[in-house]
Amino acid sequence: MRPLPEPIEALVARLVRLPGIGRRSAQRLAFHLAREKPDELAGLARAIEALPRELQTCTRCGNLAAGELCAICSDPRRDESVICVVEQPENVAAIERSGAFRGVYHVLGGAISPLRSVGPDDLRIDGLLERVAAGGVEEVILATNPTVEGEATALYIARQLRDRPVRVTRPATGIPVGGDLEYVDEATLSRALAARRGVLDED
Amino acid sequence: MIATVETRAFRNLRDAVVELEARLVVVEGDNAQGKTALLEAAYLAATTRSFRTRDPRDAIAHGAATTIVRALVRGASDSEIELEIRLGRDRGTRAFFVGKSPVKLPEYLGLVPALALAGDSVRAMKGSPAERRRFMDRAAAAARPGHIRDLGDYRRALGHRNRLLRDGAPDRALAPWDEILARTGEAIRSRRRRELASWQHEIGAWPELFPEGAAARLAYRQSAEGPLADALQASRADDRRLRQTTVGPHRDDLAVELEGVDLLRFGSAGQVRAALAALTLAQLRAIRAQRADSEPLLILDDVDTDLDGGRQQALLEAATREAQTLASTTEPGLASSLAPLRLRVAGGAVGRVG
Ligand SMILES: [Zn+2]
Repeated sequence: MRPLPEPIEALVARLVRLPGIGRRSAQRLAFHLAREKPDELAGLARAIEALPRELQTCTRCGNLAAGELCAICSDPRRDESVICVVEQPENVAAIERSGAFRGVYHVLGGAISPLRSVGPDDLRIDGLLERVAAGGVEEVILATNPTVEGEATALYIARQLRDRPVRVTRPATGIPVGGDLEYVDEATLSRALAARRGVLDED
Repeated sequence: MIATVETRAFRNLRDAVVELEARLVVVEGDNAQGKTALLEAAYLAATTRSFRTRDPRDAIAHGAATTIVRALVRGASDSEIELEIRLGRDRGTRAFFVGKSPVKLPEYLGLVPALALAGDSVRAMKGSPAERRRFMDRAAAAARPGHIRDLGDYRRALGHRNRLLRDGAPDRALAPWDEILARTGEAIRSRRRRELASWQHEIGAWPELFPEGAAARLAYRQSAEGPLADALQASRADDRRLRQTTVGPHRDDLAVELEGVDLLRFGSAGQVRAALAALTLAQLRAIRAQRADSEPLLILDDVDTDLDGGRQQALLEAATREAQTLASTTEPGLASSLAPLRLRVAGGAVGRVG
């Protein structure tokens, strides 16, 4: 039994696939959109359609970009001697909101997860190693998510960087375990970044 | 102390408010009449869990969508709080209330610390190392909230490592998982050992119940000696062949040794139940030492199973000194010398005896 008109039902079926959207929220959004003016809807549709066409992956760091390089990689004021490694572009956005970091990023595109068949080769780890090998990098901050998969990814990268002349650090605790960098408040994130420590330190 | 328990659509119990305000409540009744359900409801209100099934939603009555259990808890100086838990059949529809206000699970847990010794726990503990590990982990988790998180992280990392072993992945792929297993595994072991040490201290305290207690030695048996990081390294070849991780806290065990023989595995049913009862009493003492403000609840389901009259009496006497005790039995007139509040359950209806 489907009491909703077919166009609304079709939209709801799409919306419920989005993160954090249940059937109830999807219906609310669909009914809201049904009341909008056609111009407004066309604008929304154009913005969505433009994503795959105009959005690129930064060739240097893996962040989302409007051109070949992302806004951060093309900003000459950023400190290229410090690279902050994160899992996803939304993690970059979260750290940028905190304003606590003036270096550059490297976006892996996920975390190592054998149970989901994601290995080191499925992430942008080689690209990171190449950036470090090219020189000029003094510190790599491994700011993967505080999950076991994020921790394993950080440990794996730390081992790969062990013989390179760079300091390898991880943000201090304070980020809730099992959480996601994206949802950490900005003050906590600033504190965790400021109090980072060496991954291979023995203490 | 739990003064009343009220249930709605809970197993076969009739919806009612049941008075429980006594140090010892003996619940009589034939099998399948609902006496265990009454104990389960009290335990659920205290812990949000069931001692009978993994999924407490199994307790929702047939044909009902939701069950509600309320407990009125009377504290020191006559302060009162009302706890309420609602469980819906659909996943995720659980709600907890303290004094009518909705609260999150961590705020709800621990207001009434509770332990249960069920009728079938002897069989479970004798036959299953996993059950013996759960026994330690329940206690460790009650003492330190971080234990649950480490167990979860450990299990996830173990799943990833076992997958890599099955896939024949190289050592460099295993290394980070070994490191995480070592960190969380050592934390799990040290909390379990801490629980054992505190039980060892008390286990001889009830000679009429558990005469072997004075000589018994609680042993934490590791699947491999030495630090876990070294053991994981050393077992890699074996693990690759067997395609699974063979060392770590998921393979460790608890033993109650008497002259080198493990009572839990090789003792009589009576000895095992007495040992379990003594371990449970020891846990209650540890809880009371930490939490002077709250009175623990002890559930003794089918208290007469495997224990002779003298030991039953000793257990109930000791239990009422450590906790508010709810005991179920099929024997009418049990523990008359302790003057318990006596209830009888028949066909889901609870009545007072005498
Ligand atoms: Zn970039």
